[in-house]
Amino acid sequence: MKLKGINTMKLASKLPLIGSGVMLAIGLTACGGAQAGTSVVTGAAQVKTDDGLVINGETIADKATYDKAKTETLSLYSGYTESSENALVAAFTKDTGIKVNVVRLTPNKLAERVLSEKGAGKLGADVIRTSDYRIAKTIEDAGAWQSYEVPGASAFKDVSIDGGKFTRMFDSVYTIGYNTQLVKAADAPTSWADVVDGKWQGKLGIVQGGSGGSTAALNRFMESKLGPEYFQSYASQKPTIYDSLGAEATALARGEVAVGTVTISGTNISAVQDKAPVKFIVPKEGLVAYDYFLGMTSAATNSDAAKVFMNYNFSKQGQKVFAQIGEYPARTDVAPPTIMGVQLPAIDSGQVYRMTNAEAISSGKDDLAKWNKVFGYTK
Amino acid sequence: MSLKTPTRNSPAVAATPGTATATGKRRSLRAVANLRRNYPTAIIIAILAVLVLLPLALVLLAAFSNSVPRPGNISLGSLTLDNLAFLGSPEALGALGNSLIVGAGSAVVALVIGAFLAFICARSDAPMRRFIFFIGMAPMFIPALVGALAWSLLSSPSAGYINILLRDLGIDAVVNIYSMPGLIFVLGIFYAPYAFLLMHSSLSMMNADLEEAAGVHGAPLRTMLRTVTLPLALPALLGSAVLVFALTMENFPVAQVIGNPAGVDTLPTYIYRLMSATPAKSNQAASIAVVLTAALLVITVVQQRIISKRKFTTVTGKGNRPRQVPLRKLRWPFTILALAYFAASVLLPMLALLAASMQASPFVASISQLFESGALSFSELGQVLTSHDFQLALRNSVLVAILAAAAGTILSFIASYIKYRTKSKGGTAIELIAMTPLAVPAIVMGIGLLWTWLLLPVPVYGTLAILAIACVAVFLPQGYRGVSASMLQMDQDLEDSAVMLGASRARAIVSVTLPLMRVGITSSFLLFLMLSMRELSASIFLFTSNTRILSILVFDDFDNGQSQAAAAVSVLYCVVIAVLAIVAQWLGADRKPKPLT
Repeated sequence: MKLKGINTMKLASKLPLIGSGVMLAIGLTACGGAQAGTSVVTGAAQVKTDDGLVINGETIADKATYDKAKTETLSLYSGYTESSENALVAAFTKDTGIKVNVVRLTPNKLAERVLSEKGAGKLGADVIRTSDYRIAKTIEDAGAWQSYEVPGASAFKDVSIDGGKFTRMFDSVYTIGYNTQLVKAADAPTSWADVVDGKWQGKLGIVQGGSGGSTAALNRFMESKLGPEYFQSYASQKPTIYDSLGAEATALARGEVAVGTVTISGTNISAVQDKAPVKFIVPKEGLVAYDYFLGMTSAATNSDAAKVFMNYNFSKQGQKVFAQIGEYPARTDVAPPTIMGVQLPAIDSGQVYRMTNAEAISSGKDDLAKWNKVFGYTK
Repeated sequence: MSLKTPTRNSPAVAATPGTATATGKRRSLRAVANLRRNYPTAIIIAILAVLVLLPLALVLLAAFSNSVPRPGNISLGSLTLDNLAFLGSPEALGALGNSLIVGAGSAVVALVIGAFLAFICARSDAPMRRFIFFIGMAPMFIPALVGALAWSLLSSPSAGYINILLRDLGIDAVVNIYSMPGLIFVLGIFYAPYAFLLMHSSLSMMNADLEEAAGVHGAPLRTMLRTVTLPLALPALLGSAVLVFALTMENFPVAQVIGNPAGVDTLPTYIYRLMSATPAKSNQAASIAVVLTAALLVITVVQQRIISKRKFTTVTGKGNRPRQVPLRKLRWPFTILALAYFAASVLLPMLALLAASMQASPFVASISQLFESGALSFSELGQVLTSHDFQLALRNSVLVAILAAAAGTILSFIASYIKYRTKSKGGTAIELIAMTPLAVPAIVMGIGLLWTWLLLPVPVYGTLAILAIACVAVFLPQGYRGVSASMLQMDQDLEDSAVMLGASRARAIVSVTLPLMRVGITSSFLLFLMLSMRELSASIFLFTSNTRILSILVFDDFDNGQSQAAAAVSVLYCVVIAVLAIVAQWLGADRKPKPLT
């Protein structure tokens, strides 16, 4: 595998421009193989395609839909962490043979793009994924969603939103992480209170409070569960403030900060796929879960591929993939994840805080205003 | 497309006086001549208006509105002055202060480096001058975003290679790039090529007669440099100072990568943050952008005044051999200083990126760890190179850059020609509009352009054309300044002589003006090409899934925390730019101008 990589490189360095086209064919094998060995998503699904798409005995699409979907390339605009989205899409393409074009955007760029493109009648996305309920609602107000009831979704609690305009597929989890090269397991914090006890002064990281649905949930958790003084306690540790979760994760992996807020999925992928020395904890006060929504757009030109993608996301196989990445599946009949040897508590165990959509609307703005003020950030 | 029309028409501009002397209905002929004279000017103004003014108007509308202009949502009814209250906030004032410090600081750093390199390269007897010319240009191959990423890899306080090395050596010191001086340093070294290029062309095209006259009249070298050379180089000095000041003040990627962790907010990062807040505060961002635009416009106008007061024609029909300054003992030290700059701006950053893209683990405990077997591998680079994303982005970037460079250079040439070679009244307006983007943060321009082209009934949104349009709009000032500086230095008599000797105006332009301006035009084309290859801030709102360019790919990877992928794409990105530059230079050098005398 490695040998192939080196050969590819040598050749390419000689022919940087002309060679790249030729590289594709040679490289794909090396590429695919390398990923399979280190991906967080393991195990093969049993896929049958003789009559529609059936994965592990569960029908994902009927024959007509699947046959049409196979000829399409799905366009996905996603606010989901790139590495996690790539892991899901890789599994989807492997299981279904349908190609996906992912445009990864930070939540607000996503909203701006969708609204502008929609306004001009040029929306390029077939499906959109976002973790921000308010953004999903904004998209709804703009009339950019197309109702699609995912088979089986109605059997689960608050999964299908506003009559299938968009669908909650999973919950991502915010917690505390640390760099294992800089912090011994015995010294690592075990609670949110530990983080602000002064020991990590100047070695802490955090993501700016207004970066999306993730920080909105974290802010609400801190305010309502850790007390109105918690922002101040955290800010007084002089943390490094990052613009996005990804940037903070990198800093933690490289050891620029020793401890910081992380997502479990991000930490998992970073540790397994990039061999980063990072680990997460399950704090005494609990984990913070936030919803991820997926919906089909009113402009979807590859609607069959979009349906297969939506169905796959909500299928047992798709939900298992999310669990392997490190997310809580929306389907409660799929087990919560065991990540890096840690069995996560059940989502209804009382150990997992989940912000309600009503809270997202009612408190989001005020929480952010306070966060910005306390951390000395933009108003 | 439509750009070609004025090319055909502009020769008519100056040709009209000839036709006006014809006998007969003089008055109506004059009217026709007037029309013909103003026609190209009007077209150019119209193009520039759509390219520059319309996006700005939409941003301006957003600044005084409580809703964002968007297709189907251009509401003039909701005008408000509320956003202006934002400007007095401590954050906005702090960001403004930081931007001024950053702009001034990096302009000084860039000027010192650029002028120093230009001087030893163009006018001294230091060794390795050819290589020093390359050194002066080389950092242009490195996009500011990539440079900033590289320096954060090199010198972040805990995990930077330099600091790891210092720790390995037991030296108790930390070089922290995440600071105001760090930000100024990085911007200064990566914007020095602008100062260098302008200074170099000024110093090497300087009229030797003037200096010789000083020498003949007994002025020592020092006096000559002070009283003749320096004043002659003044427009280039002022020009590059204002240019670097404006460019660094509005620079977004470096401020984002280096300034953000340092807690140093500049206007562009503040604007960006407002844009990416939940929900986006485009209106407030636009109001700040308007103020920034107004402030930089004032600087631009002041600088234009300084230049227009004096005549700087230095290229005439006479021979030109600027005098060389002997450095004596300083020959090698000066060259070594130039090499040190090369290390800081190119060598170390590239090594850092290469190491980061090849590291098996993102965490490095000591530098020696990198030399252990299995610590480095080409697999990430290979993976990136063979990925569909990279290849598509590569193709897109090259196409966009070539398109933008061609269109931008043609537009710049016609605009400067109308301004400096015709008596058209529109010249001043053209120059003002062409220079305006200098004072507009590219990121704001990007949003304005997005709204503009969504509104116009031309289907360019979602194509590569809109990215090329953005590059032309954003970099027009640089292209225009480059072309017009070279036009200003050239005596108009040369072209007019050809016309007097019977050549048509078109022929005169093609056979006299263009060859004489070959260096200026080639370097403007190259400037457009390089800048477009590096463009990020405006494109970030204009790309779609199939039109991602390399800079977007790097920023996405960085933004998403994929630092190794970001480093790998960065390395390949620089290789592509270097190859493109070499090819372009080689093509440009093929057509040598005929000797003048």
